[in-house]
Amino acid sequence: MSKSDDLLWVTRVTLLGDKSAFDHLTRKYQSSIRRFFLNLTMGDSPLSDDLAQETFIKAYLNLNSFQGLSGFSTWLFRIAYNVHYDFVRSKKITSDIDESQINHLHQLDNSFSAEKLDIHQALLLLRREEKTAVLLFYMEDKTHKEIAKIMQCPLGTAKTYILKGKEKLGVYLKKEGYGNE
Amino acid sequence: MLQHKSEVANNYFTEKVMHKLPEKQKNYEWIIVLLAAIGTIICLILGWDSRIPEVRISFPGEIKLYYLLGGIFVSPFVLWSCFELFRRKNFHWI
Repeated sequence: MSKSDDLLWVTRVTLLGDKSAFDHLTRKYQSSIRRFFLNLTMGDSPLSDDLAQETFIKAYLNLNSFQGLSGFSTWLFRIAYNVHYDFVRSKKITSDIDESQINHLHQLDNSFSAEKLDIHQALLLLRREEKTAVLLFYMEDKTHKEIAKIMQCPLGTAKTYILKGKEKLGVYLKKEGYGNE
Repeated sequence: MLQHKSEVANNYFTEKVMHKLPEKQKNYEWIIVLLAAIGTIICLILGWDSRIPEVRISFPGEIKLYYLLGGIFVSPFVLWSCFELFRRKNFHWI
């Protein structure tokens, strides 16, 4: 239902140039896209909002290329993934454990619970691909197949990213005393 | 992890995105394709269904009505296709 619903809104934008239809789509997906970026940027709200904005603008400009083979959400996350990839590449962040991110974690406001900080700290241990796959799987409820489409990699590779990420998170969180969660 | 999955409040984010959207050229190509499809269907139905009486129009010579209608509907598509071929410069005479 939601998939065909999205297709209807997309058709309204592409065929009729109806901007209010795109406004509807943006409202629907802003939360998940911004949350995805928030987690990728370790809670850097201004940066994640900038990246999310870029994602929606790119989606709007390339809406004609959306063929409806995958869900609109998957397509949007694929753009988001590429936007983040381009951002990381442009900043020449070669290491997955970036010092500025660690410093940023310590400067976060009090709204972040200790548990949330621990999860973010644990996410820093993961490779970029593992982190993305884990976030998409556990936070955004994407299936293995959808994750493979978003990350443009084979299904097996996506599964491996999730598995390895999960293992690393498990080891770290166990060390921090979170039990088997 | 799911416990920390929270909704991100809009806080005028959508308005900012909508404000920054560039003006996109409206896409009218679908109308041309639709017209061509209608023209083709008219030609097929009127031309092949023998129960429908043939109407001939004497302009400029004698021409069957469905050819004329089909031509009118399909001509924007033909013109647009030619224009696109030249515009993209991937058209070669030989």
